[in-house]
Amino acid sequence: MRLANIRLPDFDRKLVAAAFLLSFIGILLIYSAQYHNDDPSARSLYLKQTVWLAIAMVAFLGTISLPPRFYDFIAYIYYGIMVLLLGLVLLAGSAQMGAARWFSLGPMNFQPSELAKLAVLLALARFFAYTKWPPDSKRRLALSLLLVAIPAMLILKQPDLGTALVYFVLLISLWFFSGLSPLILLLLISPLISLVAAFHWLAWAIYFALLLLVLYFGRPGLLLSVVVTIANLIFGMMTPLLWNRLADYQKMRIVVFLDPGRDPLRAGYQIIQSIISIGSGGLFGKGYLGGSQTRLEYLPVRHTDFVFSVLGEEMGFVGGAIVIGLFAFIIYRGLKIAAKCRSTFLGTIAWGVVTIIFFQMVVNIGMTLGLMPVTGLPLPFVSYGGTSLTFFWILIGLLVLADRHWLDY
Amino acid sequence: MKPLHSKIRIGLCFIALVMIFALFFTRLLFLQVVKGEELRKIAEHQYKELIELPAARGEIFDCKGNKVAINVTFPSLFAYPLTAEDADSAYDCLAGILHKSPAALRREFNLEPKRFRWIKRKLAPEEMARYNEKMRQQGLFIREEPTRCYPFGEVGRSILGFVDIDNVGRSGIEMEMNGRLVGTPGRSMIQKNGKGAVYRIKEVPVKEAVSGTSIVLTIDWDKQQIVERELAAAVEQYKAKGGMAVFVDLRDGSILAAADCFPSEDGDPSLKPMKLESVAGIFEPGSVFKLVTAAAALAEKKVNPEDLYFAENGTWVMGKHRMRDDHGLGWTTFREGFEKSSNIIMGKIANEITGDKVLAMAKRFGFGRKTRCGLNSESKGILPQAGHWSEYTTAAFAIGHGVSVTALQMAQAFAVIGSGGYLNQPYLIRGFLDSDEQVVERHVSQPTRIIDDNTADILADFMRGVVMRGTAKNLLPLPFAIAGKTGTAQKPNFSTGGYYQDKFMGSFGGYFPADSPLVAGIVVLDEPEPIHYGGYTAGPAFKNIAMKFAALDRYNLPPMPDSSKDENPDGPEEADSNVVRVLLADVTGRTRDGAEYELARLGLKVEFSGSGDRVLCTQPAADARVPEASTVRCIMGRDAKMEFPAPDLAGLTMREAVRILNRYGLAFTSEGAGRIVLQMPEAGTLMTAAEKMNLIFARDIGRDSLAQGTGKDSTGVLAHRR
Repeated sequence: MRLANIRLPDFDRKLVAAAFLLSFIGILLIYSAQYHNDDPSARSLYLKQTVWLAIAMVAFLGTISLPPRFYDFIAYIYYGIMVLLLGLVLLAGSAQMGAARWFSLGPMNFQPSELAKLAVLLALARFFAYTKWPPDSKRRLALSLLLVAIPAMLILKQPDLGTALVYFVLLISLWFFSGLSPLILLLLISPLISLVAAFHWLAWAIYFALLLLVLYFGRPGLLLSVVVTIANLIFGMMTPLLWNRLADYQKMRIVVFLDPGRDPLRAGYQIIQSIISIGSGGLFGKGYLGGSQTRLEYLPVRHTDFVFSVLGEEMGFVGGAIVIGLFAFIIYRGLKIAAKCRSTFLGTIAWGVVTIIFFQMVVNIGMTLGLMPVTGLPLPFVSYGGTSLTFFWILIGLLVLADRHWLDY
Repeated sequence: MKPLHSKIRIGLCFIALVMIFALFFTRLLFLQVVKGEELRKIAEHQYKELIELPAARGEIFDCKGNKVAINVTFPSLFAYPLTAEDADSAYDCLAGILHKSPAALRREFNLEPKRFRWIKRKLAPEEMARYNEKMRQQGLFIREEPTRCYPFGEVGRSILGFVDIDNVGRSGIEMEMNGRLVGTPGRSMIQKNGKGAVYRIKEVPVKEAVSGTSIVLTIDWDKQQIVERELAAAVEQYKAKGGMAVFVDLRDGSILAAADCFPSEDGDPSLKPMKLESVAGIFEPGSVFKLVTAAAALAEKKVNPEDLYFAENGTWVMGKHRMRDDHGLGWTTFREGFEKSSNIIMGKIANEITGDKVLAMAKRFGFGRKTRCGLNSESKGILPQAGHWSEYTTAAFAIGHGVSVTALQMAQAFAVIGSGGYLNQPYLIRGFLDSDEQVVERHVSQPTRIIDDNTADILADFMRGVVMRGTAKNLLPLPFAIAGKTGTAQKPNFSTGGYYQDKFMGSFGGYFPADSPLVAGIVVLDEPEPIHYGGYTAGPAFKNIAMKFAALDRYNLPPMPDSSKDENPDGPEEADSNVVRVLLADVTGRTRDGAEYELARLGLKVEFSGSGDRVLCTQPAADARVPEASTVRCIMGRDAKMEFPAPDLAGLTMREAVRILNRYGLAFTSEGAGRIVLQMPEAGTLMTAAEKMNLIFARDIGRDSLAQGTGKDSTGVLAHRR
């Protein structure tokens, strides 16, 4: 592969167009979200986002200009650098809303946890591509877990539960993609399900009975069965302990997700207002810049986390369906790319990209629709945030790269 | 392709993804289409709010256009902190306003985020002055609350009544006219923002509030004040239990003043009767009622004024009943019997014409039914039944026993004589002000003749005689003639059915000036001590009131002729006059410009002599009647200590007040904005040029609140609501 062979127009244009459309809609929504704000710096946020989009396009072009071998080469080095940066941001980062997540670089803020996702993705792809251990081997699972756990712990320390969650979801998804048998996967994540199910004793009891049934019929081996059973019991019992270790705002988010009416003026407020915003938009919305919920500041953090609610209110079901459709299109294209790649490395990367985009989309839109608890994960491409936008465009770049090199081994 | 890139796996995932996307679409469809309308209503409900715009209560004016009941707004402080930190810091701000310790305030109010709490209704001006806009950020807000204010304080309050805390009239005009005064509240839509507070509220008026109708009364507040003061002075002087007085303009029946005075034993004004006693209270009139008997007798043409009757030397025995006169008389004319208030003569005359005739005349005078003056609380009074007369009951009725009247009915009766035989329905409400400040629904008087003018003339002559020679001659000398009738009635004892021997109602009613009657009225004192004769207790009060009315309205009258030639009221001056004469105003104490202006207004020329900037005295002296266009000499001096009556500035704007004060050369201080509601010193009190005039201004409701720092004086005035 020579650099000179790369011709710029040679990529999946529909995929890039979809991502660009989302980014453009994002800028429109950010403009609308802060249009009525008295603070002029808030009103000009859309300009900042436009600048960031330009930066993201450069990053995208850069990403597709490099050969796959470069990513293969740089994966562990980049991973090491990002782990260092994550450590550093804990020590020297700027705090915002109680969490140290940022480096201030002149007028822009830089959030290493976003780019660390990329590092973890590359490192995992490289690891899965070159390891000779069979998919179910304990060493393979343990080592890949370690690769994720180091940055994830650092991010949890910030604390940023949502981003850390992305890492683990990515890992589980890649395990599945790289051939781990579904039974083992289920058993591996069963203690986590146990953790969630244990919020209600009946749910946990049903879940535990189902698990025992799976163990009986799946026959994964006596030792594993015993370990999984014990692990589930322990995790089930640990739930109250872990619960107590959560910060108050995290507890409240879970409680109000289950019952938003419980605290409608504070913790449940965001979910309720988001549902009201989206619902009151109706089929065609209240018109661009015309959302009363947005204008009168009922919607919280409406240019970042709840940008989809602005869309739902002002553009209605039509607007919401278009955006979800665009995401579906990107996911669909991504899956096709992942499926056709001959190289494990590029296929894994494409799968990981799809996982990250899909997971963040589901969590964010699910949150605005009242289907998920509030996590603070931004909506890919649309939400305000320069690092996030750049990151997702690099992911699109990786997809395009994988697409262009799908025949390579 | 490696097995781990199994298409089945990807296919499985694909199905899962499709399901998740389908879930999202379904949820979106559910929220926006199925529940869309419901959620849209919730959204609207939380940012739109219908609020009531209070309507300004109608104002009340006296007949001269003075505002006697106005609306002012008082600032009230409430807390609505958004966060717990705001609530904490609010205590320090409150401590600054209320001068209490933050800890005490915390115990008292215990503020919580997003919880409304009144801190203090009606802030004092100095407290308001310590409030500033920054405190809004701590969640401390001011709301202007309209409140009724009576610029004349307690004067006329028993007519006006009062309003309760919700501005609803509870007595007097405020209650009876409440329906017209309240107006119609408007409605408006406001938008609240998500921060729950006042930030960027857009008001979209939906329906403007319609102010209540303003009412114009016939009462003249200057006269009301005179009557109230004189009545109170008489009640105090004669240690009476109470007193009533009503004065009407006999030309059209408008009530000029209606006062009652019932000092409670511990001096608590809130124990005052709720109703206006002179309209709602009834009493046995006694001898003042002889007017009706005399009118009936004269109208029947059966009795002449000079007919002689035997007055039984003071005691008339009718079977088991006796009737007495205080001063026994022998053979006496009807006229003298009336003037000296002989019970026996009036009783005999009544028997001569029958009780039914007297009763019929009483009904024609308006006794026994409401005058419909405008107050529903008015009493009808009680008349005896027709047809059941004995000699004694006829005689008793003739002298005002066995009959109950209101003071207003009595005043109305005297007005009939003064107007030459016409009954004018007395009225309290001149009309209502429309939005252009024009008086609409103006009362139209419809005088009806109830006695012929000959009878009226004879009765007028009788009543003059009462003052010149009869039971009220103690009132002489008088600067102008008063016609009247005294009454000294034993109070009925309801427990025994008889009369108290030692408890009396002293009354004096009549009209003045007798030569060109303007005002009729009555003063009644309840149990005056130690003198109980109406002529000696109520009479002087009536006289004082008449004198002050005359001074106020500058009656242009000849001095009262000597009693020796009382049949010739025309003085020599009036006889020869083509010369128009004017009453020289008192300009002492005024500046050169002020005096010149005042005298020019009267059509007089001015000549100044002496040096100095103030008028020491004038030639001719003040209150003289001088020919029009004659020259008045003003002697000027520099005496800053010279006293002169303070000008009346009530209701004026700053500009108007300054113009008048400049004429007096008076310095002044002012507080507030709007129109003058209070002045110190009060109008008419003596002051010197060295003193300053202190003026308190206040605005109407609907405009700005009483400006801050209205000062201690104003709180006194404005706190009159009960």
